[in-house]
Amino acid sequence: MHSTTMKICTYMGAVAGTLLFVGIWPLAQLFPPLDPATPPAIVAAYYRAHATGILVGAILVMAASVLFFPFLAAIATFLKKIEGPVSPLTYAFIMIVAYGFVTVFFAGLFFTAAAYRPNYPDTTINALSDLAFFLFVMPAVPGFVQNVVTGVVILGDKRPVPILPRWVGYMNLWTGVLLLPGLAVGLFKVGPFAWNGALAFWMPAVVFGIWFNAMIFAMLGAIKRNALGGD
Amino acid sequence: MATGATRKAPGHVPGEEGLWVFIGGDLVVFAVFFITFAVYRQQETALFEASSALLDKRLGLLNTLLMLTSSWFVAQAVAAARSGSGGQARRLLIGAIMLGTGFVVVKGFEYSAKIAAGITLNTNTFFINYYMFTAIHLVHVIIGLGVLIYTFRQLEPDGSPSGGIALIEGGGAFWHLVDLLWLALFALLYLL
Repeated sequence: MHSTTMKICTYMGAVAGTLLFVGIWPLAQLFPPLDPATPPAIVAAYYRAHATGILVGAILVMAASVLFFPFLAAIATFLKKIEGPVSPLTYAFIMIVAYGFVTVFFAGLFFTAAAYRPNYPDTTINALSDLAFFLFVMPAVPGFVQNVVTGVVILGDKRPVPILPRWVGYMNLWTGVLLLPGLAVGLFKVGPFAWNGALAFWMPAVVFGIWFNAMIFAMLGAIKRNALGGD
Repeated sequence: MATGATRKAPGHVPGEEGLWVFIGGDLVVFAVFFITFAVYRQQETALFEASSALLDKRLGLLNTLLMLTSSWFVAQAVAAARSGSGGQARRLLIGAIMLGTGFVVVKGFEYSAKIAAGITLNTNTFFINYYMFTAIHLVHVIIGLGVLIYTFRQLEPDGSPSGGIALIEGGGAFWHLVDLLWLALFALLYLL
């Protein structure tokens, strides 16, 4: 029974990822992010011109944000199984993702607010847009800790056949380190570490994509061989 | 040098296979860093050369020596652990940890001297690269030191690794990665 629930939760991650991508890219056309060096007048004009797409895309982004949680809960279930009754890192994971992923919802909310009233002054729309993009890219910071916690739990598994394969643990550590450049986006408006830069945006985006798919793959594998035990 | 008396069979992967996912992934990322740097450098070659001249090459060289020596100590420690002389492996690891700590301290002096001279993150494109890449590398050094300390603590005083030989091999492999990345950074930032 529980393997079906676990499978559904895991697949929810794929649904969430797809919704997020469709919402932010073809609908809102905010992927890749607007150049942070763009003058407010041009940013505001962009939101006015794409208002409908952004408002609809934001709904998908916000819907995606909540569907990530069943997926994250499935990860937490594996971590709990590995840690056993005393499971501080599992609780840490749950708390970190609770605010690390809620930013996706707020990003959608601020995209909505930025596109909602076209008659707002340019600088107001620009400020709301800034907030939305920070919420979208900055979660690399909790993401780093979340991945380190996940990696440490998986690598701490002393079972002869680990619940999750050990390469998944190392991959989480790798993902965590690579998300780090996102932490510095507030310092730059141009260059590789700005929020649309090669290292603060593209690399974490690609790495997140790899992490996400590899996690789904590894979790489905573990569910298939009944790693959680029981019926 | 890294392989001691009990050389493993051909095809032996030091540490464990999964670790190489991390090391390979990290190398890919730093390759992206280096390409990014090369692209920016090509756009502003004169600025990059002038800015690079402002770096303290002596401190850079000192850190390179610290890193290389530390890496050598780790390699010797792995060899010692493989041949069963655990006490010696522990002493060598302490040496490696102290040299690695020295690297962090030197980096601290280097950063504070730069900041005191008014050279900060947004001074120009070169220094964005300098600060960000060396800081990301420094995070690697600190994580590596944590790994070495953990490895040290897992070595029994009689030298037998309680976590198995894979632990010290894996920790050593990660430390060599940190060393290798620094060598590339040193060449790109200080010497090029």
